[in-house]
Amino acid sequence: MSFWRRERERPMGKAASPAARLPEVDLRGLSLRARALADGFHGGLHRAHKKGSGIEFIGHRRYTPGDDLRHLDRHAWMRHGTLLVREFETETDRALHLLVDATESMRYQRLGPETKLERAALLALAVAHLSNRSGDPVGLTLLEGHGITHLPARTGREQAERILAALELTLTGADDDAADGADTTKGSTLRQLSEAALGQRRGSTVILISDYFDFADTADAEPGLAAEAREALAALAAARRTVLGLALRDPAELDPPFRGATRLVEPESRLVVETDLGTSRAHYLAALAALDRGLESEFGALGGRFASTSTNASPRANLELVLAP
Amino acid sequence: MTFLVPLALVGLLLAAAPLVAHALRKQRERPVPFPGAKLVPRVHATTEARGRFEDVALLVTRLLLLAALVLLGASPLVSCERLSLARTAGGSVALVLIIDESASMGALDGGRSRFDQALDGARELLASARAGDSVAIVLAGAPARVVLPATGDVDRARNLVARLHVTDRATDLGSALTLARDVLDELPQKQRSITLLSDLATSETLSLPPEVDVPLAGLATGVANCGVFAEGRREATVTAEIVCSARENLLGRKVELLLVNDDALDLSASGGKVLTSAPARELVDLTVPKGTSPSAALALRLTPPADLTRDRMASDDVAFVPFRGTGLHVGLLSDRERARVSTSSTTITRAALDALGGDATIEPLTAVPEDHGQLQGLQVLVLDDPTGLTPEASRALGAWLGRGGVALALLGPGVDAAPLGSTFEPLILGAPRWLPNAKEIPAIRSVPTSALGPWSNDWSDLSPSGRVTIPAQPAAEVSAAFADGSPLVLSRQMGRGTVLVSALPSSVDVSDFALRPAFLALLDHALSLAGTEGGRDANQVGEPVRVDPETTVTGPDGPLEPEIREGAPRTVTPELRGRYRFRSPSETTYRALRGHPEESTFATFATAQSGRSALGVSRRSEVDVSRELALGALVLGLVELVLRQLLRKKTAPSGSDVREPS
Repeated sequence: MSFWRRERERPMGKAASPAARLPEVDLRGLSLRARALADGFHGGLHRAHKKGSGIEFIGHRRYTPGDDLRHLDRHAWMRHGTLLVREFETETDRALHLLVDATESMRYQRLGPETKLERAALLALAVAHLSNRSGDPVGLTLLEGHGITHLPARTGREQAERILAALELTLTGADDDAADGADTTKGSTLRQLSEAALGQRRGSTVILISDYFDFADTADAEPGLAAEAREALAALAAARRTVLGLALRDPAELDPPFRGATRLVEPESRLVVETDLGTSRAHYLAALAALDRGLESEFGALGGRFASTSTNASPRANLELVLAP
Repeated sequence: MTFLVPLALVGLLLAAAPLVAHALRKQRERPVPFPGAKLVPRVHATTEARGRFEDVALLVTRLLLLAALVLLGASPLVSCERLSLARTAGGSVALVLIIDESASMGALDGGRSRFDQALDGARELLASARAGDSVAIVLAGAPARVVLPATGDVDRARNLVARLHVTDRATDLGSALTLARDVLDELPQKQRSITLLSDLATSETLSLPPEVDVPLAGLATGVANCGVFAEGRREATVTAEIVCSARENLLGRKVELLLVNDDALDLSASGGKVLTSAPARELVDLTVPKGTSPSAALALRLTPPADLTRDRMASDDVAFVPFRGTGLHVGLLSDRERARVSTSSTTITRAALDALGGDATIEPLTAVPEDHGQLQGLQVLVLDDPTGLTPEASRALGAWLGRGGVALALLGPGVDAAPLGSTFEPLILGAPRWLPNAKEIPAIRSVPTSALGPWSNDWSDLSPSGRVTIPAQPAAEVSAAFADGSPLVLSRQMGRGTVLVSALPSSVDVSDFALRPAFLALLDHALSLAGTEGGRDANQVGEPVRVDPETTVTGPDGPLEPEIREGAPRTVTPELRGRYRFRSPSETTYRALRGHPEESTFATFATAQSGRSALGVSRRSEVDVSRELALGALVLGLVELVLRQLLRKKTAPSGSDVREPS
């Protein structure tokens, strides 16, 4: 699968000196901040660290007295003379996959304390730490417009480090050389989302952090969710996956500060819109609300949950929205 | 390019203003990144690339418009090769343009006729005229005439120049210069110019004074050409005269005699049947084939040379043959025994006519012509002591007079010998009587104001042995009369013609009336009347032809407009050689108009002195192109308006107006 190869093409840890690329991203303390954020969350992800009979066989382990003899693998004993029991994943033992929108629009910052991507990275890393603490496998997929970076769900502290490295790479833009000439428009982002859905485990929990502007469909008279986005979300939610959506936006996107005649340019498509936000603000806010309503409805229909927040809110408040029961 | 106000060019710095404004606008309107842009209702939706393209076109248009306005303020002057008035101190000028529209100006020179080049020169000069200038136009085709008296309305002069055309007239530079000087004398401007636009091809020996500008002296060069002229038809022979600018231009060429349609006016349109031809020489006699009607329409054509550059003017290569040829034809009815002197075998009248010289052809008559055919071709009829006219002769004479004939009746004792049934009408109305008693003849008094003028004094001491008493004639002009009021010499109009009557014959047995110089004046007057009254079968181009109100005249170029002047006969002046139709309610006649051979030789006897006039005409001038620049600025303004509208339309809001980048 392409996203597997992509990971191998860019082995973890490979990065140009961050100082030579986008020095405006302050990576200092991302790990610490995420860990502190996760530590402040006593509740964790409420995922039981237990194994037992369940839906899926996941491997063997040595027999220890007290194990359920029903799970004893007789074939392995007859073949190897070793007592092994079969392990199964239970409902409470599901992977968590973080899908982070790392397209150009996520690098936007105007009124917030940091870019949306920086906040998304912080939240993703914090969730990774929480998941690791719970012993749940956690994976990461970065949707970067020109391609995706995919880390399959794994357990262990090393996985958190891998996730950190991938996030740092994206934040510094070190892999921007791969973006030259690539298509960074909406269609490809949603297509990447559909691709990313294919690599997700059955029954896993997927948290999609994005500004969701690419999901909007303005061709209709009433703005709402694009049909392609619905298809991508449906693909994400297939195989009994639970999809949680967090819309992360800059405060300027929630209340545009522009006055008078303004030329706005969409960062990815370079679409230029000349408008007067003095008269069109209400229309924009209504369109944004309609988009969020559409997303909430769609996520709900897929058995998931959707929430919207801004970078102005505290990271804890953001995280609470993700982890809310 | 130079400028009247160079300082105004500083305004070109303002051309940077749109660029600065454009940059500021782009600065101010730099697109603001906003991920939610697609949710914002659009006033203008476009991509940056498209906006740049449209802006550039509008920017360039505005820059050009600004530059045009700045240049306009600086009053640009462009140096160019064209005629213009060289003013001193910028004052107004008086300009008389003499334009030569004679036949030689129709020669091709470098692909264009000389006349067209002259008109171009006239237009250029008029273009440099300004408000306050006076302009007059004199045409140098014979006779020279003022076609535009001095006027400040230059547009009127331009319109007139646009209507001028080359003719087959002769050249009359001397008279044209005289007219031009007369016009200038009346004008107040201190700066004056007589500008002659001519090829100087004239038979006049003329030295042009230095105050006359000849800016197109380059036209005064020889031209390879030959032309054919018809001398006329006499019985079965047509004589063709061929004139050339150089003998070698005639080599290998022929002259053809053509039979053309009776109603043909232009050989080029009607063609013709070749009756005979002969090698071309200066004079060629061509025999008219037997059976050709005496009244058939004939024409001569000079075949083109093998090398076409040997003949630069085609208009003189064809000529219609006049019926009797050129010159006046005078029919003379005179009794040789009674009307001659003893020392001569010829009659006094014939001797007097011969003494007048000219190209008149005297045809002796034995009787008064009684039909149209006998009178056709005669322009003047002299009847010396006639004995009356038969009714047929009276009718024929009346018709002939109506068509413009001139009759001179020298009445004498023959009036009493008129046969029964004869009359003297239309010569005189009523019955004349011969009074033989010399003692009863009163003295003769002249009428100096008559057509003969003071010449009539010459008869004041006549002592005739008898006289004819003439009844009072209506509308008659008396040139001399007896003391009792009875006219000695009178004239009377009849249609287009004129009747001259004297109460004394030429016979010296009665008086020495015909021996006086006044008699020559009387004959000369009759002949000159015949020249303008159209009695001739042939005229030369440029000579006025008298016509009556019912007659229309059509020539090779179409109908001719009659010239009507107060107190003068109604005339038309044909300007092209060819055939002309004179149509009246009663009859239709044709007349061949002959060109002027000297125009075909391009011989130049006029010289232009070097030197410039006080005003002068310059070939290289600084021409103010402000008008052209203003027009260009207007066009740019319209283009800017259109571009702005297009840009507004293309970026107008609509549901599908968002242009997504591909």
